[in-house]
Amino acid sequence: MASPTVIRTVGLRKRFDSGTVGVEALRGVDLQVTQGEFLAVMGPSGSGKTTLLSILGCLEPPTAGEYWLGDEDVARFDERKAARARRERIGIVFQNFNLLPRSTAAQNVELPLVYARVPPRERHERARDALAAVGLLDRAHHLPNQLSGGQQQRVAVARAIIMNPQVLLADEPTGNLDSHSADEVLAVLNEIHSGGATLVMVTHAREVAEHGTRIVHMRDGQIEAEEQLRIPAQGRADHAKAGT
Amino acid sequence: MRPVEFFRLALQALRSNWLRGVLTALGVIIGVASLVSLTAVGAGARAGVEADLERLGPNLVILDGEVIVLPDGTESPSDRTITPGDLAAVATLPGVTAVAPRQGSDGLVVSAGARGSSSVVSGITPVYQRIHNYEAEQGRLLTAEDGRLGNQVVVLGQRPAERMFPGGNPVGRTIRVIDREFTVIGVFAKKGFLGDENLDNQVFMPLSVAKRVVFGGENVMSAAIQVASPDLVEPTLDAVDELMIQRHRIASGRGEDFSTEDQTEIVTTAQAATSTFETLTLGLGAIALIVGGIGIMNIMLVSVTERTREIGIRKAVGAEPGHIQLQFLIEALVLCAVGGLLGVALGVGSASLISNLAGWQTMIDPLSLVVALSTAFVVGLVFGYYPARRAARLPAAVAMRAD
Repeated sequence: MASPTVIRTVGLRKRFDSGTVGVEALRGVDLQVTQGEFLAVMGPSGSGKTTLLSILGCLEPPTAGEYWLGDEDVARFDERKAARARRERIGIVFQNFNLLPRSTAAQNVELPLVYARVPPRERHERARDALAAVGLLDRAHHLPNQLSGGQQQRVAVARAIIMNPQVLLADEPTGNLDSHSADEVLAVLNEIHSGGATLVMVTHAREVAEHGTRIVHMRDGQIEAEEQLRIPAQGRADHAKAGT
Repeated sequence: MRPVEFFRLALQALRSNWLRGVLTALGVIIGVASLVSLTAVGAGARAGVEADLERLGPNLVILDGEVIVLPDGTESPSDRTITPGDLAAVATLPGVTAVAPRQGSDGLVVSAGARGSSSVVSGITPVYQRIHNYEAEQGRLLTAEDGRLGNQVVVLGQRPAERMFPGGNPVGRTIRVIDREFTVIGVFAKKGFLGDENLDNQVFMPLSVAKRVVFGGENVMSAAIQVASPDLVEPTLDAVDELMIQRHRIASGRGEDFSTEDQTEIVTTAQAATSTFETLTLGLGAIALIVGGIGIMNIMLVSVTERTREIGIRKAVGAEPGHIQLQFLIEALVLCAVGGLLGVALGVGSASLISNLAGWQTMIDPLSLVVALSTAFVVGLVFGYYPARRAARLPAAVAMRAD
C-alpha cells in the first residue's frame, strides 16, 4: 500500500510582472509529496525553488496550475481560506527566522495558536511542549535578539510545528547559520521527520539536501531531475505492513 | 483571535513607542480638551443667562416710550409717551399678571452733604420691585403706603449708597435730589449688570412722589409687564404692540413712539458675544479633532509601512486579513481613546482654570464628556480604517520580502 499523497501540483506556473518586464519564475511544475517524505528541493538561485515553496506555503497563489493539499485545490483559495490553511495545515520555516523581535520565544511560538483562538493556558502549555521538542525550554522567555541564530531558527521550527501541520516547509533553514548551528537545526528537522512528519526543504547545499529522503533539482522554473535517496521512515513502515 | 488579544496587542505596540503615541494623539487631546472646556464655558454662559433672568425677573415684556421724530423733522422733547390709560389698557390684556410703570432719568446727581453720585433715579411702584426680584439688604423697600401718603423716601442701590455714605449705614439719613430732601429707608441687594448697565447705580422713590416732585406730568417713560408664563411672552409682546399702535393712532409707515422688548432678549443679547465666541471655539475644537485624526492616519500609515514585516510574519503563521485590519484599527482606537481621556482631563482642568482666571462661570456637563469621547472614538474609527485596510491587504509573500 502506497503512502497517501500530501502535496500534488499539476502544471504550476508563476509569473511576476514588474513594469513591462515579466519573469516566469515557475514554468509548469508537477510535484508529488507523499506522507512521511522529507523532500529536498535543490537548484541554483533564480531556479524558482523559493517561489515554489512560497506557493506551497499558500503565501501567494500560482498564476496557473493546480495545487492539491490533501484533497483540496489550494490554488483556488481566497485570502481567508489561504490564511486558514497556513495556520492549520502548513508550518513554514524561513531562512531569516522571521520571529517578532519584541515578543519572547514562547510568545513567538504561541502566535499561530493566538489566531486559532486557543485559550491562553492551553497556548502556554503547547508552546512549552514545542519549545521542549526543539530543546529550548530554558529560553522560553528570551527575546529573539538574546538568542543565537541556531536557537532562533529552532524557535521558528517550534512555531511551525505547534499546530501539528500536514506538512512542514523550510526555505534554506540553515542558510544564515554557521555549520554548528546548522547541524543543530538539521538534527531537529530530522527528529521531526522521524516522528512521521512530511517535510519539504529548499536548499542549495548538497550536504543539507542529503538529510532528505528524495531530492528534486530545479532549473529555470522547472523540475530538471530527481533522485530517491532512501525510503521514508513512514513509507518503510507502510512497506513492512504491506509485506506482511 | 480573541477580542482581548487585540487590545493586548494594541497596548503592547503603543507602549513600545509611547512618546510617538502621545505626540500622535496630541491633536485628539487638544481637540477633545477644547471641546470639553468650551462646552463648559458655553453651559456656564447659558446657566448665567438663566441666573440673570431669575435675578432680573422672569417673563417680562418691557414697554419703552421713545422720543419721536415730528412731521416737521424735529424730535419730541420727551420720551414719556406712555399714558396712565395705556397702562390700564395693557393690564387688561390676557396673560398679563402685573404692570409696573417707571418714571425716571439717567444720570441725575443725588447728594448727601459734600458727597454725590450720578445715578439713575426712578419713580416706581412696589410691583416693580417685586417682578424684578429686588430685595432689601438694609432697611426696607418701598411700599404701597409710601406711594399713597406721598412719603419723600428713597431706596438706594449699592453704588450711590457707597458714594454718599462710605462705610456707614444710610438708612434714616437724608439725601438731596434736585433740591428736594428724601429720607433713605433702605438699600437693595446687589443686582449686578444687565449688559453694560449697572443696576446697582439706581435710586428708587415712590412713583407718585417722582411725578409730583421731580419730573412732573402723568406720562411715564417705561413699564415692565409681567406675564404668567414664558410662552406668553411672545404673544403678549405682539398684543402690546398692536394695542399701543391703536391707542396712539399710529398710521402705518409713521414712526412709533414706543418700543417693546422681551427681557429674555435683552439678556440673551448681552450674552451674544459669549455664544459667538463659543461657536467659534467649538469650530476650532472640531478642526483640531479632524487635524488630530489626520495625524493619526498619517502615523498609522507610517506604522503599517514600518511593520510590513511583522504583518508578513503574522500572515505567514495564519493571521487572516480581518485579524490584521482589526489589530491596526484597534490600535488607532486605543490611541484615540487614550487621547480622548487625556483630553477630557485637560479640558476639565482648563475649564476650572478659565473660571479662576477669566472669572467666567463654567459648567461641566457629563453629556459633553460622553460626546467628546465618542467623537474621539469616531475619529479613530474613521482615520484608522484606511491604514488598517491597507495593512490587511498586504499580500503575505510581499510583506515577507520587506526589509
